[in-house]
Amino acid sequence: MMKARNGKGAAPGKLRPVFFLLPSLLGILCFYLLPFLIILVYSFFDDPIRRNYTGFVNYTALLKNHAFSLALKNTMLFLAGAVGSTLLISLLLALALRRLLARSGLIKAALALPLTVPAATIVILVTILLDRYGALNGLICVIGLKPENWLDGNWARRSMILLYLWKHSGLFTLLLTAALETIPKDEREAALLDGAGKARIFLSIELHHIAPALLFTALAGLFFGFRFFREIGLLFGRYPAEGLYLVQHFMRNVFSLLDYQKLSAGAVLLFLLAALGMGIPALLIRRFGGDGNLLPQRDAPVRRKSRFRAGDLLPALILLICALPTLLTLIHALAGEGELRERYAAIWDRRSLDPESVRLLLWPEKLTLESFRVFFSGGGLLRAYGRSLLYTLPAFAVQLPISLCAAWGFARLKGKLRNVLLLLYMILLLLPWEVTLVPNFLIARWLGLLETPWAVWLPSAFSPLPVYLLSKYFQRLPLELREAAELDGAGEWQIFTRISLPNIRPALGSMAFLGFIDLWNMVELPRTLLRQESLMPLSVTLANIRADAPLGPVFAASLAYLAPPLGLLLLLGPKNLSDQTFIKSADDDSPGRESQNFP
Amino acid sequence: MKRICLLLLVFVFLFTAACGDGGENTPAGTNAPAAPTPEPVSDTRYVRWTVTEARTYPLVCADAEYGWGKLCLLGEQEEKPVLLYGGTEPRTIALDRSYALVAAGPEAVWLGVETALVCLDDQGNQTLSLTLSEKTEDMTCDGDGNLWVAHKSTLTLVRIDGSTETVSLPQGFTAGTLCRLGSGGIGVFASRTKGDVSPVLRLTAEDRDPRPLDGAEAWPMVAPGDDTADFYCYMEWGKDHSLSGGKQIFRFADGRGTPALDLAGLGHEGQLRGICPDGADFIVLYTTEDSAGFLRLKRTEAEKQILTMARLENNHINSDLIDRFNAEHPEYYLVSRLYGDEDELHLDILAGERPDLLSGMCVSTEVYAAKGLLADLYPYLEREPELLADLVPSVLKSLETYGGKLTQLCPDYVLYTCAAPKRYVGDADRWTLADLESICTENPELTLWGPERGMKLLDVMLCAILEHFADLESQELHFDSPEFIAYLDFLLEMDQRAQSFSGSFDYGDGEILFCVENFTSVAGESPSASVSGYVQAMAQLDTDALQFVGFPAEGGTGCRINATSLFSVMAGTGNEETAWTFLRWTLEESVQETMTTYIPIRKSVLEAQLKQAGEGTSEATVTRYKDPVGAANGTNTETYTVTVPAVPGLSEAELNLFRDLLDRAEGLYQDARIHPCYELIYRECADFFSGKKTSAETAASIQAKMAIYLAERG
Repeated sequence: MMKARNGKGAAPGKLRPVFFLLPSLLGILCFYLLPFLIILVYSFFDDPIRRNYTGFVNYTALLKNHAFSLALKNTMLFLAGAVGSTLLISLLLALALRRLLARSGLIKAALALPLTVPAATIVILVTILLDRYGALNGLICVIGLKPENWLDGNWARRSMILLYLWKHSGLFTLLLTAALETIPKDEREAALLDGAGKARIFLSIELHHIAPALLFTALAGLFFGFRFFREIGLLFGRYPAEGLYLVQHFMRNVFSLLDYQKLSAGAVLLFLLAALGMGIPALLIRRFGGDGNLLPQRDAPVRRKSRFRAGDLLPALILLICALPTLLTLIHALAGEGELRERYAAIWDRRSLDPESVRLLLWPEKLTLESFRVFFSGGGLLRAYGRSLLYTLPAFAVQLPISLCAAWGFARLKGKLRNVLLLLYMILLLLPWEVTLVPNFLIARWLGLLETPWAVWLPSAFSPLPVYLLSKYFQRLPLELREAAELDGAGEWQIFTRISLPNIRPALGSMAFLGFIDLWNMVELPRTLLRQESLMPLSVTLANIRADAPLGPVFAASLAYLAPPLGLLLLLGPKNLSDQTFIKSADDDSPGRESQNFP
Repeated sequence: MKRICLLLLVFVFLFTAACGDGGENTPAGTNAPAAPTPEPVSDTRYVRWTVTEARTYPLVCADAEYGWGKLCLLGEQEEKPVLLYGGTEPRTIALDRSYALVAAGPEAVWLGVETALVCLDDQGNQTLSLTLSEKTEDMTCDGDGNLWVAHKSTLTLVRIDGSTETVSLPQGFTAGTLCRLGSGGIGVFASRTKGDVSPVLRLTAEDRDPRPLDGAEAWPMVAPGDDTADFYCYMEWGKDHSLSGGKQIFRFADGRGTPALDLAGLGHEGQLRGICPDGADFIVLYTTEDSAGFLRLKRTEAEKQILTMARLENNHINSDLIDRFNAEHPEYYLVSRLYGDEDELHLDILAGERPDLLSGMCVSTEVYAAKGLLADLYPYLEREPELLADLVPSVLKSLETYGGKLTQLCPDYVLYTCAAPKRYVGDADRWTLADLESICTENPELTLWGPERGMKLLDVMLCAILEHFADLESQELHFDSPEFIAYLDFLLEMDQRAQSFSGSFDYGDGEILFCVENFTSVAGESPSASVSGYVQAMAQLDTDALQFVGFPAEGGTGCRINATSLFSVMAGTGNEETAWTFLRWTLEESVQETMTTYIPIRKSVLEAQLKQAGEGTSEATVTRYKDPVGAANGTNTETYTVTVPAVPGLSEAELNLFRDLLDRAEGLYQDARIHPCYELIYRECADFFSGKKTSAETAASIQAKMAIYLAERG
């Protein structure tokens, strides 16, 4: 007897899809939604200490507050500029490099490399390059132009947008390249036969197909945009240039002023704005979704041994730009402390009598392993490194199965509830840490988790990011696969483990990489909930490094810091980052699609 | 699969190699302060102890130990070396020579000095004699009766059968104290470490490989453990081992300490020499100059009232004050809660865990005051009009914060002012920023403060700058004014003059304008008086050439106070009265009279000090300990004498000058790194002085950022 094609009525006694969702839902409720609800309640009181009900007074006061308005405006401008420009550049790169990326794992790995560099190292290198006495101004002076304050005034925001672009364009390029791979070949060929040019083909055919991917990438860009505050906070402190004063600055500063009512009201407003900001693209995804088929539309490309031909300047340039910070980190780690201090004295030594722009160290005068020796001599940096592994690996090991199960559960759910829940996941994900700082602290304290690894493990294990990404991919798997399995008598769990999981292996690789990076780079969570310096992971220790600290060991530590994400990248294989589409994230409720895909 | 296994192996290797003890030092150069002393407030069993047995033994004691139910007191009676050994009625065993160290074993006792070791049985008969290759620093027996002897970089293990074995210690580790651990083996506490080596190591006779003891530090007083503890110790670094110090002894186990024994209010005097748990009781050994004492302490049901003080500093002066309060008030126990930064404190406050007291050093007190979190102390003072009248009014006024309330109090303080050569300022008692600029313009060879450059100059005048160019209450800012820009240019010019300064420090006819003085004490010669004490300063300054005119300020006197000990009572805790008890105690005359490092806040005590300063002191010969720490714990009581030269008395004019400067004090000196406004200006000006910005850009930036700050404040 044929079972209903919409998948309703799972055989009695077998696992229902909702059970796949439960662990994730519980975690999200406890570590994401509950903190937000606490914030929501606080926003109607004068403060958590006196607890006098004030109604909407906090909101009206906040909307009239110049600092908040400025922060909101700057945040929107920054995100629009950063995400927009990165999207555009990435799309162009994807179009230019898609053939090369199809065969070159090296370029793919290079594109993912910027994500692995720790924020603290980026800050040091950016300072060396862009400070008033930095290497860039040195070059500019040599060619006779006027040096600028690249990290101040009007240039501050532009510099940060460029930094964001550097850090994330590689990932975006990979995502969009994957999307381009799935465009039906015959549609292109038909257009060519009709005499359409490349631009016309792009606008009429390719853009339509990759629109969901573009929108999805934009959403991911927003997520990384909020996370990018780490770098901005480290570079500019509590009061950056006016154009770079963001919502997170506002929240941190009002928290320091014990002005929790402003923080709470601001958090709720940000939530509403994020809901709006996410809801519109979500609707657009439903409207513009391409066809549902995720499998590649052409034969898998023949894998030739990757090599650079003479004239492949663009790939070489990309390789250099992406790998440059890692190379610089290595070079600086091999230099002596004295050489580093002397070379960069003008930047950090405020007593320099006659400061001149520094020259970037491209190769040390004398190679030394002293910095590595200091790092590996069992000092604080090495122990912090061990703690990073201690916090990341278990959280990662738990996060992956929970996220997979939840993503499968979402894919099997039907109706508006699923969309609402998914939207909620993304909005909660977007909220900056500063928003839920106090409630998360309270919850951790209530649960007795403070100053224990559990304070880091538990919230990390229930991160909404992988759930959202993977659910989209599960939704795009062909229905025929599931139906065939059901006909063979497979239950929900068997379908999940034996049919669906193997088919999303590339997506799994990408998700694993992103999830690991997010955990590995965590700063705010351990800083707030672990409290003691002796418990901090390396990401926090590096972020706490003072300007007068020895630079060499910091670079050595940064290099070691890159090892696990790089190792994971190599383990997964760069090809798995984008070999097949995993973010063809069209919502599949539109007519005509249900027959093709998992409900 | 191979790749997975290889990577996993690498991760595991790094992880196990790296995850050593959690109590390592803060990595050099990090912004986070050193890990705070783990004194858990959640453990509320701070109970009172009573002495149920007390004995003294006439003896000049060299070393003392209690173990396996036996008391071992080593020293001299009537200048003859003896060992008192046994139960509470120990027998006296005459020794053939003087020994420095004693270690009790289950069935024997060891004595040691230099490289010589002897073992005596229960009857006092010598059973073994050894000569070691290195000098003995300390020794102890482990639970199996093996003797461990510490040398500087090695240990000697002497087994029960008399065989010996040398154990090497890690490089950079210099052994200090040994202690038997309750969990087995011994702990080796470093007297000095170099490099990143754990300060406490653990060894057993079976496994002679030293391993770090997690969470332990080389605290100055440690005692053997028992079934419930690795060891007992003070969890602080103070040098005071006196019984009257009333310290809390902690039980250290599983990497952390919990309160175990409180020595406050015992009513005995002497230096603590040892502690030993005896069932539910504790045995305390102490020594005086000519006796050794034995106390048995029993726990009572009475619990102390706990007070908590939030601190963002670990200043020893405040720690000593707290210890003293605890020692003199056995019904209370004031616990310090050390925070890494203010955000941590804010989280606790918002989570409902408000401390009873707040130490104001390194804290933006006005933030808490603005939120109504700090109690106004005037009502408490007004309950005692005589006390209120005896407090220096200008200091009280300087301490007022939000809305004219007194939300913080300091038992002592420093007077921070500035003098300038009379040839420039005449007889003025104050001057303005305009006066300063005018003087410097007319005298191009003049520097503000010799070789001190831009940021340092900014530091001393930051208060004046903020007050002149910003009114935070009315939210008016004038940093974008031509006046401020001109002032920045002026500071830059003075910075450049300082770069080329090579003149003398003769204020009479030199090239320096500022003579910054931090008057810390008027008490003259005292164990801890700073060299910048008023008495010494007056002896060194050419007051004929200098005029105490204060720092340049607009409408102010330019004299400020600065306080290390600055305390506030947190409002709404329900414990305000008890918290006030602590503050009130710091104002007691008996306590104020001991405050000779800084200036006491009580006028009567200050006047007494000034009177003494006016009389001066004659030349005196003073005896001091060569090793104060060793003297405190009885390990080194060698002394030396020094002749303290006569200190002439201050003249009436000098005394009146001090009084006048004190009367002129207005406002508390704020550290630039604490107050958000100062931090903001400081940071911008740092870029300005290093040439990264022009004065106009700096001014515009400060104006914009200060506007944001004011908007955040609402």
